[in-house]
Amino acid sequence: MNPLLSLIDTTIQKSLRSINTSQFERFHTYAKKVRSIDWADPGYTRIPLILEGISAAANLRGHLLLPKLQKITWRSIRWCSLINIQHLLLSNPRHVTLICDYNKKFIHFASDEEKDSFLAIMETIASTSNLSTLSLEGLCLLDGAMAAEVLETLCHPCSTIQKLSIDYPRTTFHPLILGQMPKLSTLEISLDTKLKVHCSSNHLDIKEEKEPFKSLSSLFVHRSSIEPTDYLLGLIRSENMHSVRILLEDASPSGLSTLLPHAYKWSKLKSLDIMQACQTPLFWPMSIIRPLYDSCPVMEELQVSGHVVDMVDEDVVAIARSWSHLRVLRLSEKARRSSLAKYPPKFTLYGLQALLNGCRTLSDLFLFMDTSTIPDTAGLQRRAGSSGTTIGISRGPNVLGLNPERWKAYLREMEEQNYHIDAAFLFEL
Amino acid sequence: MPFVLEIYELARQIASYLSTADALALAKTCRSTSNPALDELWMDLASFKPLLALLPPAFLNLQGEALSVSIVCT
Repeated sequence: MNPLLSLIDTTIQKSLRSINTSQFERFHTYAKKVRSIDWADPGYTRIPLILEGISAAANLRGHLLLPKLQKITWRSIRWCSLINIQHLLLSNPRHVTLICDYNKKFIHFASDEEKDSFLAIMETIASTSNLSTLSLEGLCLLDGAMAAEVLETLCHPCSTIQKLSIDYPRTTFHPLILGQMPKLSTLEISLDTKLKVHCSSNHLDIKEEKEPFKSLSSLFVHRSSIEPTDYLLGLIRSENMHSVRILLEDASPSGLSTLLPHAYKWSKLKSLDIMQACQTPLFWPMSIIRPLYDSCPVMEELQVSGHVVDMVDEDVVAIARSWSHLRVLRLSEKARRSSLAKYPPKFTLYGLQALLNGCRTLSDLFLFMDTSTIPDTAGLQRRAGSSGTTIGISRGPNVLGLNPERWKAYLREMEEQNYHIDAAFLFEL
Repeated sequence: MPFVLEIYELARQIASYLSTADALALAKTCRSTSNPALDELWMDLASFKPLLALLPPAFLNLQGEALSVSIVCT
């Protein structure tokens, strides 16, 4: 080590040893007010050493460094400051976020000692008795074996974690490790598109006996492909699923028909959002969604983006009858124009009126529709309240034959019924 | 001073809507608003530096020196 730095280290340690009671009390008065700390590791400074010294001074007086700390966010973790996390974890925080990625490069441990220190931190986190939220970013930047070891350390059957955010390492995918956490209710997981599912006989045994993900109620899968997502959804044994959000990067046309049937088993599902990135026209038959009318009777939000759906007026009548508490319905959003040209919408304004009459709490609607015929608004029930309902209508690709004057009159009539319609396509006519 | 500011919870709630500079001004206003404003100011820290600044002056000089050396080193 540089002799100058060594001299400074020694002087800091001496100085900390000589800190008197009144000086420490001044520090402690403010330290005990701190509930959350968000710190980006500045690198190889003397700060870790100073904090270690203060922590030792606090321990000598029977205190913790930050005794009432509830939330830790630690960015760009370096080995030299890992010891400080240990000190902070003694405060038994409820929320911990560790952001391991440093300049988005793979994390290499220079020695076994560094590796052991990192695992020791994970063990301390895993044994923190109050921990309810854990967010681990950059786990995929660790090498596969190390990442697997970290997961096994953190996700144990006695874990108190209720909310876990994680980018799954680029190893073989065996999510049953996560599924054995008994209190896990919210899972946000990022899956590499090249992940391969691992399904050994051992894992199948766990699946049958332990009821994986039995407390899960909210799932958010992002940057994912179909195979691991399908496997993960198939494992969930929870009856309390109420929110599922999936962002697929896989452009396979079988995406929705593979994943959506998993939702049929969740009778308490209130929110379902599936977004698929696609380069080619994707079509989604309504036959996939129809079973949801009966199997998910309390649905409040349904969003499917990237696909064109073949919804007809009879479908919205059925939706209005089945989902009276529906608040959000967004279908075919972000669908490519080529998809719309290939599968022109059949849903009409007559269906829209039936939907508005049936779903009185609907506040957000996005649909492509056949706008060539305009119905009379006489049958439409007036929406109560001052704010009314905002409705976005996107037309089908063929606007030939539309009558702008008739449309303007229709929109005025709708306004009188307290419906605010955003029909931007009218400006193109 | 208005009686309402002597109620800790209300003063704390008011402090939660203030900017750092305004909360600091409130902390310096009087004894009864000082604690709630300081509690609010110290509740969420974006760095360890405010804590290090609580250390004794002699140590602070050393710490400044140490930090400046570390900047040269990184």
